[in-house]
Amino acid sequence: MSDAPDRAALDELARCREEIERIDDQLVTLLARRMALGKKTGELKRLANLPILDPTREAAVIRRVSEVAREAGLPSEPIREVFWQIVGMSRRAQEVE
Amino acid sequence: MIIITRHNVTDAEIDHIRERIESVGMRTHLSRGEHRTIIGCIGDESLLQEVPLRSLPGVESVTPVLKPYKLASREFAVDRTVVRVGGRDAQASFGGPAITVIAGPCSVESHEMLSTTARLVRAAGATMLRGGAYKPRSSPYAFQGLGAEALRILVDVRAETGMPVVTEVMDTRQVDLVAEHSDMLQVGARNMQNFALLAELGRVRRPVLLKRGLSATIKELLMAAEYIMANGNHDVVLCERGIRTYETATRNTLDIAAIPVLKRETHLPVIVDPSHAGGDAALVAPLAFAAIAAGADGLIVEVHPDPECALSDGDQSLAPPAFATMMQQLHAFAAAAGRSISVAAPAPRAVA
Repeated sequence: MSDAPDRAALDELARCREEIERIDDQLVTLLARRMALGKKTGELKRLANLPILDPTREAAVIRRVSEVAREAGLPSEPIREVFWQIVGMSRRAQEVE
Repeated sequence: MIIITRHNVTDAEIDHIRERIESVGMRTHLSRGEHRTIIGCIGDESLLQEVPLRSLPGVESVTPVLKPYKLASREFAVDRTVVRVGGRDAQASFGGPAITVIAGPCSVESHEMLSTTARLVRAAGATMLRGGAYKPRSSPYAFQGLGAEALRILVDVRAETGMPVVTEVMDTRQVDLVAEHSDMLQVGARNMQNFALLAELGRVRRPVLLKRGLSATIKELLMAAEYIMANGNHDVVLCERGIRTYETATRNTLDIAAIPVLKRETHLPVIVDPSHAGGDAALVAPLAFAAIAAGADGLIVEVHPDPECALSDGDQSLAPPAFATMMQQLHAFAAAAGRSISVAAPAPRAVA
């Protein structure tokens, strides 16, 4: 392998990174929307006199996304981990009144 | 509790089983083998009393795990775990058919010293480099390590030799910095039950080398591994490094029996540190041979280019020629144990 970097490959790498950043922005925007909805469900649970922690619902959310991930050709284990984090974040936001 | 699934279990059935377990507030861990899949349940098992696990589609059998460690227990994984260290440019692995030897100085003293040692141990057959940046010394007046400067030296020598590096992390505040500069994070014997540190290491994406505490039982070592795993990092390599006994002829007593016992109790790889165990260079080779004969997956050995002038642990450091001789003799012990010695990949640049 020569030491000189391939110019075209470097340009393409920079473009890919820009695209990744745009997708990350969208992911964060979507997460913010998800969190806002989570907070709203927290308020509704309080009005309906339901507990904030709902393991049955959390388990159903995780099962559903692992199916969706598999259909999309993604490995479901890491996607489950990511969604346990998201579900946990949403639960903590709901717990704060 | 572990659930062993039927041979022809479908993804949908596995999803359903996991959903039923997670619906009561527990978590699950999946281990897939060629012929069977195990679903491990993590959390308060009394919650599962109401779940008819045995009658769920796809379930073959349900077995309670009576040990306090779950994720680390042998039952939780279909196969033994192989921990892969490093990336494409510098890699090693623990727990496969080959034995991996880590070698290097107790502490990083300078670039020249580390670079020289790395080249010599690599030529002798070591595939991974050790070197302390932060040293937990018994005396506050002893040399404490070069810290961040040592980390930079480790990165440079890693690039020169293609050897992945392991270095000790002593404090939760150092975890990110050390993870950025090394391929594997070592928890020293004195920190084995530093639970805040273990939990923090559970959150990083770097394998952990967990050394057994001086007075820790095997169960306590496995519970320490469980801490790291429960926090999300399943790449843990255990290290027997000698325990404190009434014997004073050696610095510690190498607990050889711990190797087969750990192999029975856990799916995690087990390596041995013959340098700290004996505390004497003359004991390193015989203890290393015994470790490999007893089934260890690797060794971590202190080597110093000039042990007499070492800033720390000179008494137990091997000089490079003694290390090379030991490595040659090690092949016969590995072969007797049905193993081989891991071979280094070609260096990125010419290594003298």
